[in-house]
Amino acid sequence: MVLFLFTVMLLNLNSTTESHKPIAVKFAAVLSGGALMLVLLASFKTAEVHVATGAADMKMGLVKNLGQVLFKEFVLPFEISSILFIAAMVGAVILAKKELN
Amino acid sequence: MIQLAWLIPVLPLIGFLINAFFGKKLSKSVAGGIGSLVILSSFIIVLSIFFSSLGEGFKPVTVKLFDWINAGSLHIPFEFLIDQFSLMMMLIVTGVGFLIHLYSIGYMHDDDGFQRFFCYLNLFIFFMLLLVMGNNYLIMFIGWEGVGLCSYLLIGFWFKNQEYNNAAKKAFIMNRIGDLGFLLGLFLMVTNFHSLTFSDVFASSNGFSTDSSLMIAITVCLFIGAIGKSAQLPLFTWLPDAMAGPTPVSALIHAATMVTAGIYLIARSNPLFSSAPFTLNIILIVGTVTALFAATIGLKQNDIKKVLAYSTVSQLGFMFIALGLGAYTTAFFHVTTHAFFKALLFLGAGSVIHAMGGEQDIRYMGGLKNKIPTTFKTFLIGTIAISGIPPFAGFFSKDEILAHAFEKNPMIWALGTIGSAITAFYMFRLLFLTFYGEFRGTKHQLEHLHESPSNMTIPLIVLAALSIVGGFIGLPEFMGMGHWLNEYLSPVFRTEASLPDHTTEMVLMAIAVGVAVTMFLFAKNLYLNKGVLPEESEDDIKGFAKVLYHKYYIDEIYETFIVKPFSSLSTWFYKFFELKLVDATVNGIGKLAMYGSQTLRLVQSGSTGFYIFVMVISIIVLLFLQGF
Amino acid sequence: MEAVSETMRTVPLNWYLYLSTVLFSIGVAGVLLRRNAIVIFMSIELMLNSVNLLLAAFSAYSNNPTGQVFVFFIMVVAAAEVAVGLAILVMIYRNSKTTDINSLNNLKW
Repeated sequence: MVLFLFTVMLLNLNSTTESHKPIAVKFAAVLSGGALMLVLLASFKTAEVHVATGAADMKMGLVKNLGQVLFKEFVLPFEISSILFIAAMVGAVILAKKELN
Repeated sequence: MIQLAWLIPVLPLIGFLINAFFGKKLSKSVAGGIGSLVILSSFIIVLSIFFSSLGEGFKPVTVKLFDWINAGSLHIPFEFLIDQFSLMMMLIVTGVGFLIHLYSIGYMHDDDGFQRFFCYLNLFIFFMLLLVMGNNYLIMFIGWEGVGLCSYLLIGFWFKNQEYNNAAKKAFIMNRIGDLGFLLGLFLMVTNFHSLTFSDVFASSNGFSTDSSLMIAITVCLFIGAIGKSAQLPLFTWLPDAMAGPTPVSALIHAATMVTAGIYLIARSNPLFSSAPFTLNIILIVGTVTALFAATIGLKQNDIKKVLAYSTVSQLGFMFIALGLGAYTTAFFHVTTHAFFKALLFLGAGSVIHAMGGEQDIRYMGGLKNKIPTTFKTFLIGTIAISGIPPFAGFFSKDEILAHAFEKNPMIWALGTIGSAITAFYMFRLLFLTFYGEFRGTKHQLEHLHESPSNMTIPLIVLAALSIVGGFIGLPEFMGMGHWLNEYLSPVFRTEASLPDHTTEMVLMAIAVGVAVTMFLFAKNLYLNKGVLPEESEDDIKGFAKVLYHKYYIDEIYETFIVKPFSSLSTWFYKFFELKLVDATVNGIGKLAMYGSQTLRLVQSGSTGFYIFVMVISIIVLLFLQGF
Repeated sequence: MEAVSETMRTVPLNWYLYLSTVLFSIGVAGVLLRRNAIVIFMSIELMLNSVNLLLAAFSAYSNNPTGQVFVFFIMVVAAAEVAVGLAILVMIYRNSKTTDINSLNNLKW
């Protein structure tokens, strides 16, 4: 995400040339975003969260333990996501290649 | 031979199919030959069955073809009934039919629609045979409707003339009005007797008293059907207009066969009618009035075919008088003799028209007797027969009707005698104006006058012979030779009306002959000796004759009181219901679909922001609904 | 890094829920409001991260490592998506010289 922000800096977005959406659309957008927030908050307020809380486990959050779980139980999704990464990389490179005339 | 009975109607059907599908490829003589040959074959089969029926111990036979309708308790098989009555009708239909087919080969020779004509003729014979051969009312109804259809097709044969099409429509519609009555009668029978087979219906009807309203209802409904088909008052105006068709059609359909279907229906249903004397009285009255009414109109008509048409209506009235008296055999006797001489008269008229190159108005004929001698001689025989002069056919049958009438009520006898007097008068008027006197046509017609070819004159000669000897099948008792027709048909018709004693009968006969001869002399005096001619133009006719000439204005009355209100009602319905309601609804649905799609199309705006917006809104809505 | 989960438990679970919801709706509003494609991508990232936060919180509270593994995979997918998405955006920029999404309306009726 930091790289992302670097890109944004480098692109030198000119806020004056950036056109805004019509005011009605802005209004509708704010309204719908707000409506979504309200609906969700309202439903979470009345919902009861059932989470079995035992004593805090010492092993949570440590990278070593995370790695253990990752490679023991979730090895298949792990491999598949690596394939996904390769596909995305290749696709991105091909799409963004400049045509050499 | 009885096993081949199913062939009798099937052969004309095959002829119809061949001419319908291959007619255009066949030459005229082949098409006409096939058409006539199938009828001849049917006639031969009928004849052989007939001869076998003359022997001892002949029982009526039902020939079942297949099980047709099986619905709950209603069973209607497709079967034929071969008994003496249906055999006689079949003989007339195929015999006279064959002669007319032969005649048509010559008459329609120059017509383009030759093959189509034979196609329709064969179809007609097929349906007529179904009518008379059926063992239940439903098959009879199929034939009934079918002959109505063929009548429409044949009357409007020269369809390029709109007048003829109107006449055909009129015939069909009037027939349909009668058919409604027939259908109602059928429905009543099915509801109450649960069967339409003749034997079942007659057996069930035995239990009813003579006052029962059911019997009266059924018989009145059947009679309404007969009124439409057999052109009685008030549904008779289609018959004179039906003369728009070719002359063989008039001879076959409107003289010999189709119009007698009503008589056949009532005679076949005689057990039903014997249980309802009330209806018989109605039949009697309608028949008498029709006989007189039509005869008077015939006095003033100038078209050869129209005179014969009104004469047919009148003679049918006589047949209904006989039915109304309960004398079913006599009615059928008159049917037979009428078939002979009326077909003869029509074919002779056709021969005259053919010789005159299409002229049908008797005011422009005359003096033809030496130019077309065979036609003249046969026409003369037909005229004598219809006037009821012995020993030709018409005398015996008509006299029997009048004798029965005298026994029941002398008033009816008197009216009937007046009717036959008028008949004799206008028939001889027709004869004298057409064949005697000076020729009143154009020079062109005079040069082209010629006798008809032999395929037209031979049927004329055969029918003339039948008209002479046809009466002998029903000689009265006192002549000693026994009434053959009565004996032959006695198994079929059980009730007989009574006859007066022999002396009275002979007196009545003498009166009838005297009346006929007097009328002949009267007409001879007027039209031959004095040379009186019908008025040239309509304006010259005065007084009551004018009413007769305009056929009592019946057509105009129907037009004003029935046709016009219906037309305006249907136009109003069209303008209101059809255009404003139905069309608006149907078109409206179409417009709605178009409008809706045009509006919905705008949702596809192509802007991604809008799509995301819609997605978010949908999620909100779904979550919101999920909460409930 | 001891007792990470203990640290996380000092905040009641409901607050994590509310925070995540607010972040998510801000992300939604951002997607709807802005016209620049890159800003929209950032908003999408914001939405994904809010879910990550919530998953980690639930994982800490229920002593179940599955939540954290799921966060792992979500991050993977998000990264792949951003990569491809930015590549497409670069192509669009080359073609139409603008990153305004309102110019992408060739499928308009």
